[in-house]
Amino acid sequence: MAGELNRIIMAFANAVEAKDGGKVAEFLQISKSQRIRERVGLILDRNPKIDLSHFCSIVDTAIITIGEALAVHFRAMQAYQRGCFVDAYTLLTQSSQAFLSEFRNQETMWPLDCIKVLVYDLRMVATRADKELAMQGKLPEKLTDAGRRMMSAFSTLTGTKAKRGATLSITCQLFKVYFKLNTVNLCRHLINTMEKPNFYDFNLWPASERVTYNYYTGRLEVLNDNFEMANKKLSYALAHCHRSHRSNIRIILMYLVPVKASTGVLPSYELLKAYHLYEYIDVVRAIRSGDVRLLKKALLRHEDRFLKAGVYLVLEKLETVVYRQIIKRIYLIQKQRDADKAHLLKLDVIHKAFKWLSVDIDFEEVECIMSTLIYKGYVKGYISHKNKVVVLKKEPAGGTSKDGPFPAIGANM
Amino acid sequence: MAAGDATESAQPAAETARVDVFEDDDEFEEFENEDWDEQEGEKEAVAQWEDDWDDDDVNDDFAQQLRAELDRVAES
Repeated sequence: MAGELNRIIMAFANAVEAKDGGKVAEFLQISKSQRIRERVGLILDRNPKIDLSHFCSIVDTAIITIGEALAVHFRAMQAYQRGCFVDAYTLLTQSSQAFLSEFRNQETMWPLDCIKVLVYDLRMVATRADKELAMQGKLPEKLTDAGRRMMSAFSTLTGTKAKRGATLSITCQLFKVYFKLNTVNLCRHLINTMEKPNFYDFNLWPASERVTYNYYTGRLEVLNDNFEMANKKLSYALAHCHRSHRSNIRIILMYLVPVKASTGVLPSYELLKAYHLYEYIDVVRAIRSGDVRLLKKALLRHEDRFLKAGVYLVLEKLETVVYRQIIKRIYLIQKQRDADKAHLLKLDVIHKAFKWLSVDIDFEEVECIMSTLIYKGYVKGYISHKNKVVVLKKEPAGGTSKDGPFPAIGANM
Repeated sequence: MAAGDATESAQPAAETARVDVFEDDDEFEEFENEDWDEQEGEKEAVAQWEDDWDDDDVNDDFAQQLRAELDRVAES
């Protein structure tokens, strides 16, 4: 058994000697793969008196001292393997700190992959430790702690171009932490650093990190009400996401659908069906038809889910688009009856149509909705308060309603 | 889905049993591969987005119902 441990440590030492960062990183993985963790855990469980520091000291060379860090890291693996995640996290904070300070001081940046693995595990192990703490009725605080450690690792790697290679990976991991902890304002510092001119050529990052970065910054733009930027970022994430990763595509779409809908671009029914976004089917139908009641129903029915995902406010804004649509269709039907008078829309007729759709509002509110639509550029025309009528812009001969009172939805953005 | 919705407000326990979007673990997942050739990604089989839906057509079911209602209002 001890012989097997020795073989693992020798293989690790050889990878360090060869400066094979990818290989060394494989030995350090705690949560992603169980290959090393399981074996190390078993050996240490069966040999409780083993002098691990002594075994690991053979890793140390003139240029790198990580033997003791490895010993502690193995103990973290053992604790994780036993299901003691709080212990595993505490040990990992010690080992990762020692590893990171050695890794970042290497002459060449061969340990970049190792740094990524350690930062990833800080988040993953902290998350499991917090679950354990919560189950014991204690305060789950490890993820907050991990966030601080990850941020400090990030800060030490922004200096020279060579070291920056791990910064986007750490940024993505920190986005996940901050979104989970509801402290998204902390993302700002990371974005400011990553988007500094000449920091790093964005196209040179691995696709996984580019997609993840654009997904999270896109969601931040949604929160900031900046739909144009949100559309750009989320569309990038969608276009570059690995096609076989369907659950990530679906999550991107969860945010992209309402954002695009607000600019007048709707997902096809097939797209919603393909990614099981059934919650959006009625929302989209309501936008197409102008059925205000259907939108309200859909919002109410999935309220908790929409709120949790943080898209409720975006969807609520689509109400204006649906109002535009019902007004437009009243106009079109009126036009079929009497083209000459179609541009005169009685507030009373609109009021009654709303009532028919169970939208229980009084006459003044109808006027208010109409002024909002006109103010926001969804409808062209003016309200004649005295005559209680909306006077719409006339369609030019041979034109459509888009050339007249109802410009394209995205046109006013 | 329908059955789940009916008991939704009455039983908070049913929350965890729901298998649908907007779940708790609805987190953006790690990618298996770090990098991939984006040219290789096969084109989506389904039509994705429509920007020409907003036409002047008023013949669908909802528009027909609306027309009937507007007729009723005009007559009264």
